[in-house]
Amino acid sequence: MQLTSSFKLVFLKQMLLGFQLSAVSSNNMSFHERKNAIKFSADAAIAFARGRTRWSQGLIRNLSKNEKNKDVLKGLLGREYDNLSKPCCNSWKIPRSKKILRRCLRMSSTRKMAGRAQHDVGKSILAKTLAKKRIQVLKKLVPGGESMDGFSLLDETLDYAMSLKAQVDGMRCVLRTSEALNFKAPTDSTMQVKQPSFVGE
Amino acid sequence: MQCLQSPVSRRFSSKWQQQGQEQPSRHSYSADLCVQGGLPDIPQRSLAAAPNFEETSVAVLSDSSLRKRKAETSLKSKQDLGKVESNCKRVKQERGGGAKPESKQQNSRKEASGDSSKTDYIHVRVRRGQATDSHSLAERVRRERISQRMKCLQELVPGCSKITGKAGMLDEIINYVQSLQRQVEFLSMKLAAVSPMEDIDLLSREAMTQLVQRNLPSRSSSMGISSELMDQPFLHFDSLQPHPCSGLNMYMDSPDLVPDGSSFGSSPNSLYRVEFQLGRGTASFPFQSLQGKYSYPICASGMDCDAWFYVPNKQNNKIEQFLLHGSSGPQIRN
Repeated sequence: MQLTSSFKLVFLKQMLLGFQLSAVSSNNMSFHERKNAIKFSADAAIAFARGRTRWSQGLIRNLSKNEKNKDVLKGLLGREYDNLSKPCCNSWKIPRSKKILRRCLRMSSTRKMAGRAQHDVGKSILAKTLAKKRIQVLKKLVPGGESMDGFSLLDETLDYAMSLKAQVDGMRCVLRTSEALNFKAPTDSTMQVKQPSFVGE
Repeated sequence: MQCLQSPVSRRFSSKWQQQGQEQPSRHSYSADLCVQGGLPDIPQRSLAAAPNFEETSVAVLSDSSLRKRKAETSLKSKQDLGKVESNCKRVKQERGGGAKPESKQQNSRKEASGDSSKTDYIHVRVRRGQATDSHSLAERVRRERISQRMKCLQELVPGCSKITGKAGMLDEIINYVQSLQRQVEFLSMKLAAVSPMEDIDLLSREAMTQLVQRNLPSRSSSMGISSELMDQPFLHFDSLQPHPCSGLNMYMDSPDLVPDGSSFGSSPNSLYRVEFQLGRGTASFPFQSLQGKYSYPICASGMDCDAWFYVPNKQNNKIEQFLLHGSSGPQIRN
């Protein structure tokens, strides 16, 4: 996935639309609610802009767990919502019988043991457990990551990281412009904000 | 996912082409892990070389693939192999057919594997002297795939070119993703703190022009005054920490990871300390504007974003401890 400017623009549009839909600009939301609404629209926008990937579907699934967000989500995504909530790839877990699994593991482990020197075994096992632990952590980080195996997890992580970066850039952009706008036309708000006295970008 | 697929497929195809050129057919033999029904891709030359070998290897593979599928859960390719075991038998019958150029198939297969379709095959070319054991073949394929992806990730994550080894790389990736997520949290908090966006259209227009401008090479001009302020965080931070932290300096250099100078004041010390304290749920903390006269409180109750800038894992504890113990709490600078 390339971080094209069109992707960023799409994300930006969607996010701002999300802000409108969730009525972020109204004054009767608490700070916490507003922050959650902003984050929600940002996440939905990034998933929308990316299209059908595993992590985007996982993200939408997570977002729609909250019932009242669901309507906003539907309005935001439009017909994409159905596309995204359908699982795109087979996320089944292969049914494995324990007996066969145990036998296979024993065989594979004895085969590996035979091929290696004794002192290497400990190192390799250690390395594997370390890697496994980290993969588990990564699975928790990436949305929808639990049902993915090693390869696709790395793929999805790559994709997700790039989209996150775009998200951060977009949000920072919005922040900067909103601050610049506020500076140009100061309105009295509940918070006493004294804008820095320099011309922005 | 062009970034991933094209380099992978390119690398693979070039690799196979190289191997094809280096080793004449007499010395090399190919072991197919499986063959799609209807597409006999065992080239004629290797057939002539060692027909018996291939038969046995294919037979072995078809048997062991079932076992392997159950044994190695993380090997997705093997799952697909197990499904089309029956097609492997067709290979023996259809060997007489024409041979497709291997590189093309390699590409198409790599793309197919990206879609995780049912026809996911890996065509492996084994060099002379290497084991043809199905297990080691699959292992090698798996390792190569992982290394390909690791390389791509290395390019993406800043500062990972020095790190080798899976565990370290995974560490860095985890760190990076976590820091990005925290940044999102933090930015959403900041956006919420900004007074309500009344004119969404104007905002969107401005934001988009901003975005377009940023993509142009005149990035330094768009940063504007904030570049001056960026120097200050470095100075302050250097004075803060006694430990040399090359990773941190590197991250601080990239403007993406440093907070906008426009939003934060000239007291990044308090900012960083405050950032670490956020996780503890402090009630409020002041941000300083440039003049240092006014500050606005942000209610931090219930917020759980910790330090958001990306710090390499090893240095994290030292800096954290130093900052936490070195300060009594968020301080207001005048």
